[in-house]
Amino acid sequence: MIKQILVSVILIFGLGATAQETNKILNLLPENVEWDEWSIADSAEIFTGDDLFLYINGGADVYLEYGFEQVVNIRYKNDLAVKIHLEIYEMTDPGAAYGIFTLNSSGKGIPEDIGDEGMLFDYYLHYVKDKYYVRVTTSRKEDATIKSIFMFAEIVEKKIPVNGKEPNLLKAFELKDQELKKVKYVRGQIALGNIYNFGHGSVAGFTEGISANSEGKMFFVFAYKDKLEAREWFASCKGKMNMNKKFTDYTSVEDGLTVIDKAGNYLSIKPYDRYYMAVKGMNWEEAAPVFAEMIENLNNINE
Amino acid sequence: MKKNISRRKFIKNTTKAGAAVAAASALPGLTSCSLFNPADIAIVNGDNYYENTIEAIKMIGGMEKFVPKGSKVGLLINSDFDVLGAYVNPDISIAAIKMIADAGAEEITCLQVVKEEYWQRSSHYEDHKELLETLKSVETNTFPAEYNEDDFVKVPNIEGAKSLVDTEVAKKWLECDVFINIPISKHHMTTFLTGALKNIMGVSTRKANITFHLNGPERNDPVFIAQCIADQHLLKKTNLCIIDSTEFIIDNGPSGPGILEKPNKILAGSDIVALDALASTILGYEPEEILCVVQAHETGVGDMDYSKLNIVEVDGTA
Repeated sequence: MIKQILVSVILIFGLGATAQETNKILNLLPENVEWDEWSIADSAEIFTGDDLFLYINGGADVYLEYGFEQVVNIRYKNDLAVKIHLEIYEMTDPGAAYGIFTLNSSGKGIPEDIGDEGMLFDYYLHYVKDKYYVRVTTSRKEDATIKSIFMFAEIVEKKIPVNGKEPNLLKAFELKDQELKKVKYVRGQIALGNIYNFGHGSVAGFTEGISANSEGKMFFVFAYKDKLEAREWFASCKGKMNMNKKFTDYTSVEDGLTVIDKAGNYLSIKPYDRYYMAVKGMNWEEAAPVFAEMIENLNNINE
Repeated sequence: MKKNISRRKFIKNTTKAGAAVAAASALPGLTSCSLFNPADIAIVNGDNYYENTIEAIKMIGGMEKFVPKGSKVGLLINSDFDVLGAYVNPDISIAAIKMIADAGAEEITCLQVVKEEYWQRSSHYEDHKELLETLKSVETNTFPAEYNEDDFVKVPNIEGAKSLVDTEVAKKWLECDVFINIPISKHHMTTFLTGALKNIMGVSTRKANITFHLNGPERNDPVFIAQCIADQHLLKKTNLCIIDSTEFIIDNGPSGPGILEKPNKILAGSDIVALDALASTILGYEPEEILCVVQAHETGVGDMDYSKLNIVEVDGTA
C-alpha cells in the first residue's frame, strides 16, 4: 500500500541521520486505511539530533540529555476540526525512552496496558516501547476523541516489534517495606532538577539515576562509571551541600551526610561502591536499614 | 545581595493592602486604588480574566501611565503553544490590547507571530475582531524563526552582558517606544520557571536561542542559560508586564502537555524580576531557586526582593 505520508513528509536532518534510519521511523506511522475517519492536518516532519531544538519550543535539552536520535510527528484532524497530534521519539536505547517516559509521567495519570508502560492523562496518552517514546495528544477531552487517541497509539504500538527492558538499576528499589510510586529514571541534572532540587551541581556526574516516592519520602540511587569517580563526586557533593543555603544542619555521619531541607525534611546521603544513595524524609538512623537493603540489591545487580 | 523572601511573608505583606483596596473598591464610584498610590505590582484573583486584566492594569496606574498617546507599542505574548496551560489565556491578551488601543497607541506590533487560532480561543474574539485585525506583526518571527535583514538585527555585543556575546533580535523590539511583555508563568524543564524573563527569547531567532543552550561551558549549563536571558534584557527595558498565572502546567514545561494548576491570578507591574520572583512562589518555588531571577537581579534588570514593593492583591470578578 502506498502511504500518503511518504509523499508529504518533511525531513529535517541533523548530524548522523541517514535516509534509511528516517524511513524506519516513518514505517511506524499509521497507514491511510487504518484511520479513515481522520485526515492529515499537517504533514509528517522528522527532526534528528540537535535539530530537536527546531521542533520543541523549549524542553528539547532534556531529550538530548537522555539520548535522542529522531522524532517524527504528524497532526490529524476530523470533520469536527478536532486535532490529534502523534509524536514518535526514537531514543538512543530503551533506557533513554523509559527515562523520558517516567519523567513525563506523574501520579495523576492512569496506567494503561499499552507498550512496555503507558499512561493516560486528561487529553493525552503516552507510552514507551523498546527505544520509542510515543505520545498522542488531542485538542479535546471528549470520550470519542480519547478513543481515537487510543486507536492511533495502538496502531503504532503494533508496529514496534520488540519490547524494551527496564534499566537494571531499578532493582535497587526492590524494597520490602516501601510501596514505591512515581519511579523516575534519569541520566543528567536537567531531568533530576525536575524531580528534586539538590542544589545546582550538588549531585552531578552520574551516568544514571533513579528516584521514587513513598508516603512523603523520596528515594534515590545514582550510579557512576566506577568507584573512584563516585567517591570524587561524593566529596564534591559534601562540599556543595554544606555550603548550600537550601539546606541546614549539615552533619557528617559515618561515611555519609545528613542535612535538612527548607521544607524541614531530613536528607540522608550515603556512598557505596560506584553508587550513592539518598533518602529524603528519614534521618540517618531511619535511613540506615533502607540503605542496607539497597546495598544488597545493588550487589545482586553487580553479580 | 540575595534575600530570602518567604511565601508567608509575601502573603502577610499583601494581605493588609488587599483588604484596604477591597474595601476601597466597594465604595460607590471609586475604582480600586483610587484612594492610594498605584500599586507597584497588582495581583487580581478570579475567573473573569478579561475584566481582571483591566482591573490589574488600573491598579498599577492605568494603561495611560505606560502607553503615551501616539506611541508605538511592541507586544510579546507567549501564545505559540496549543496545549492548555502552556499559552497565555487570550482573554488577558485581548484585554491588554483593548487598553493599549484606548490609551491612544499609534501602532501595536506583535513581536512574535500570534496565530488567528489563538485569538479564536477567546470568547471575546468576535467583539474585538476588528481591533485585532489592526495589529501589526513581525511576520517572520514564528518558531523556529530564521534571521532575515528585514525583520531582525544582529547585535554584536551587549553592554554589560556577562554571557551573551551576540544575538539576533526582532528590529521592532528595539525600535518600539513601549515594550509590553505578556508571559504565562509555567514550568520549564531547564529553568524551572518560564515567565517574563524567559519570554524574552521570543524576540530572538532560533539560532540565537540555541546558543543559550549550547555555547556555555557545557551543554545546557543552567547558569549560562539564565545569564544569557538576563543579558538579553539589557538591550531593552520592559515597560509593562502582565503575567498569566491563571492556569498553567507544573510539569513537562514549557510545551506540555502536563499537570495543570489553576490559581486564577493575574499579575501586573513593571519590574519583571520582582514579578517573576512572585510568580515562582505561585508555582511552589523559592525565587532563589530560579536562576533567571537571581542572575537578572545581579545583572541589574530588576529587583527580586519584592518585599520592597507595594504589592496589592484583590479578588476580582469571578
